[in-house]
Amino acid sequence: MSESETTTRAIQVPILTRVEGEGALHVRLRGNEIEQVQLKIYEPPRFFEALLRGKPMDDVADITSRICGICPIAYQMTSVQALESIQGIAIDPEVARLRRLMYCGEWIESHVLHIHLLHAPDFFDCDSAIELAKRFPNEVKRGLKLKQIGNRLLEILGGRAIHPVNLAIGGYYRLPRHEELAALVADFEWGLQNSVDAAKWLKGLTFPEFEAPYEFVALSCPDRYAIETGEIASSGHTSIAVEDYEKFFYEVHVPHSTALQARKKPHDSTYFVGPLARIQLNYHTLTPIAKQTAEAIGIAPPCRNPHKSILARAVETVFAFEEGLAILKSLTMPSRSRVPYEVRAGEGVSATEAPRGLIFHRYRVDGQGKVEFAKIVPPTSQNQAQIEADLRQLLPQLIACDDAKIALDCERLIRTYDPCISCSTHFLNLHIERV
Amino acid sequence: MSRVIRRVVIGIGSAHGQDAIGWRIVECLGRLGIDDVACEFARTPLEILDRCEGIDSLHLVDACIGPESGRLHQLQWPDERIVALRWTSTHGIDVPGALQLATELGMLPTSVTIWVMECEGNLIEGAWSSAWTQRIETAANRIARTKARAVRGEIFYRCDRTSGL
Repeated sequence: MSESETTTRAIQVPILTRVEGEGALHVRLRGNEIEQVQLKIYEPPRFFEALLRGKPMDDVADITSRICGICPIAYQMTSVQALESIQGIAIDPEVARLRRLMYCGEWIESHVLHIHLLHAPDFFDCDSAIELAKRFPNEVKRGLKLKQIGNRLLEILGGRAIHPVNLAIGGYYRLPRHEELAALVADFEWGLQNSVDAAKWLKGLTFPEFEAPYEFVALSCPDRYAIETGEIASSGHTSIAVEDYEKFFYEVHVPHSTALQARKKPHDSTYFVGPLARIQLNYHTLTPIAKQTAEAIGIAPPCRNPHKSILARAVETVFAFEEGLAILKSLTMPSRSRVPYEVRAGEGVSATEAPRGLIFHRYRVDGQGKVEFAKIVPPTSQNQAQIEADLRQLLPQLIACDDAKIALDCERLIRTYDPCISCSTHFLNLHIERV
Repeated sequence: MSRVIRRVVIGIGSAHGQDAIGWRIVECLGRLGIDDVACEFARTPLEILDRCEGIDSLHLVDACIGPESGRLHQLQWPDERIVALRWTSTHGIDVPGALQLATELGMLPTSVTIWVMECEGNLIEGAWSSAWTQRIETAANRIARTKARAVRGEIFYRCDRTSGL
């Protein structure tokens, strides 16, 4: 047995910045063989599904929004839509447009944050957004202003940007004033132009050569880029109805993670959700300027390099401004804030596209409108197993490298997914064990 | 003609628990009705960047865990001790990170003061005793006095004697 096959080597990278949440990566190498790759999520489970049980339906959106400070709309919107399906509510078309606009705001603030402060530093050999800001102050400033516009929209429609409070079953608690929204047109015009410029800034990036035979999964609509409605499309099967999600996808508990991992039936396979999956599946429904931008910066399908997710986010930022601007310019205010309804018992589901990918909710409520059961499948739990699979594919190319290089490349790959492990603490320990 | 001094005081945190200390102090400061002072509230440190450009002085008010509830610390940015403290934040951008970013972007005013009030343990809803009300009012008055001195050109800097700060 050679020395390399018997040497035990352990590496700790105590803090991985620019990942949202608290987790660790454990890699065990035996000689040149990868024995184990575990994306460990060890922060305490928050039991949101259990917290929801017994709560009035009206409280659900406020509770689920607390799951994430960056993408609360995704949780709120998905829960509200599931509950509306139980109650047989068809929201007014004008309210539906305001909700789509609201979701655009969330995509803007989430994508712009990830592009400029979390992900871009990787491509410019910067350790942090602060270092990036030294070299590209105008670009970072532009990013912050773009994010600010998304936040402003959420404040108007949601009452506040972080954990909004205005979304209600049947519509909104309070409708915004027309003039508040109309005042955003100029900001969105500026945002559209500058989001295109931001995307072009990323055009010349050098991406690590890494591709995998992903199964991309995302909501899809025939006539528009899917955000809040659609069927579940996949690069590996025909579209399925949201109601059938659990026939095709399921979650498992793995010992090394307090977050559930999702798999696809019948082969327990991994799959990929998020902006890259959406662009690949729904390219034909992108708005015109977004599509032009995608072509210009090189993210048009086919693309199976996860590192190019930063380009996908940039294109979706352009899309969100373009779509938002179109809604703002053709705004018709609803005649009522929400649809009244009589409470009835039942069970319902909904899926939407959170900034990080597909999100699925299922609820059962009783005749008094109390939640009896809740199931929430966030995007990161769906990507978690795919991230591990990617790392297994990447590591053989890195075994000869020193530990720092392995750590850096693994971290970079994880960051491409913009994992939101949780929103409370933020570090990831990397442990490489060589036995 | 006297120059209009634009000062912004931002409470950082939320409406709940000890996280609300910064907000409550700034609310109290707002009730004092000081001229030329904008009282604002931020849930995340990154929001500081939305409000700090084009102003003359910035005051941040936050909470920290410490043994002496109500003790108010005052620090002037930049200060290595501020960076060295363990901050919690959302999505990797803490208060020093936001200030460093704003510095690099040339967005910070020349005077940035950070006020931090200690709180021992968890302050749950309903536990805002009269003692806490007094602490909040005292802190707001102290910040108000300090700002008044700054206006007269006596930039005030003092750090309370305490471990770690």
